[in-house]
Amino acid sequence: MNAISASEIKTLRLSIYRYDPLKEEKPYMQDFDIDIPAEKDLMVLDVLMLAKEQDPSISFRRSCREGVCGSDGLNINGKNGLGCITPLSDAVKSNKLSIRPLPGLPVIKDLIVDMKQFVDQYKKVKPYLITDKKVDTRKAIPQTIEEREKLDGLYECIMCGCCSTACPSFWWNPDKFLGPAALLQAYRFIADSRDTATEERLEQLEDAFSVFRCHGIMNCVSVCPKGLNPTKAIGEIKKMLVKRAL
Amino acid sequence: MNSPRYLNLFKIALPLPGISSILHRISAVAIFVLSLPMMGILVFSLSSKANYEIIILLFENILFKSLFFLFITAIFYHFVSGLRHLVMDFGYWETLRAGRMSALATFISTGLFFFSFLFLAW
Repeated sequence: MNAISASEIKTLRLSIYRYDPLKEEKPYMQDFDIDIPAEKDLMVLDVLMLAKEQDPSISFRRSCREGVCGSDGLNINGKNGLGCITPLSDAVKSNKLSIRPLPGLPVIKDLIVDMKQFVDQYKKVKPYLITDKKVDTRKAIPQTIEEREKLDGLYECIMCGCCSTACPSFWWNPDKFLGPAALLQAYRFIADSRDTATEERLEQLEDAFSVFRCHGIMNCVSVCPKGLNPTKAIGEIKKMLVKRAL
Repeated sequence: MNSPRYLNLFKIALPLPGISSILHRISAVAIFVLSLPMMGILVFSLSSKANYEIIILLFENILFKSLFFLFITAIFYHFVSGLRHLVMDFGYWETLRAGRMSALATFISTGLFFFSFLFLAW
């Protein structure tokens, strides 16, 4: 590897949320100076890895490093996103980068949060195909091109949790409001022509909290690293619930 | 589980529709709190000519007058923002771009209303 001259290096001031449950201290922000090649647009995850070289005790989740596994959901300079696909050119302001855990969820250590509440809400929507007993599920259930197209923008969710943890309704009622990620999945199966449990699914959502706590503020759309639109899916569910009630 | 939760509302970025929604709620609280005293003042002013004169004097107090202007502006903002939410309930303006534009429109219209009202009635 060729040596990089000092003029080609810029120093980034990185600030990371630290919390260790084994130490009796409150969470705090720890600062690092990270030298990065000036001509390279690193990803936030790369910078975290460089910080971990300075302090190996920093804890965070990561796996695929290409926006597929959804492990490294973080709050990056105030906005949720995946560390591995968020370039510094998008995230850094005034040469400063602050990284905190996903908001609202219990912190296990540093940037690692307990996703149980998020997953519990996901389970509630029964995120799997439900069919009549008379349908032979050993064979493929055919769909028309139009029926299949209805699932575009719904099935691509990678469950990173960026959307639900950016939603104030989920912060205040994480046990009652299902959150944008779970509701996107709920609509994914409601809209699926092969699923025969639409009525049961809608009935389960027909209370004051599960869906109707969404006030359309679009934080979820703003932060989704896959460019999905949970607000629109929630709107579709709301319309179906209203039609059903009339 | 006593784990901390990160939730610093001053550090978490909100898009324009989010700010619009928070202001919608704040305006609702302002309307709720101020409606009763404002109604009381209206009823009092209509009860006799002397009482009406008293309320006219009250409007010469800059603090009360400012509060009144804020109250009317809060009603206007709440109404416009409510209309925006109704439109979204019908399935329109549900993209992020449309959401930002419609939120911006509520801010601009409220600003225009406030300054027009200030200019015409102060």
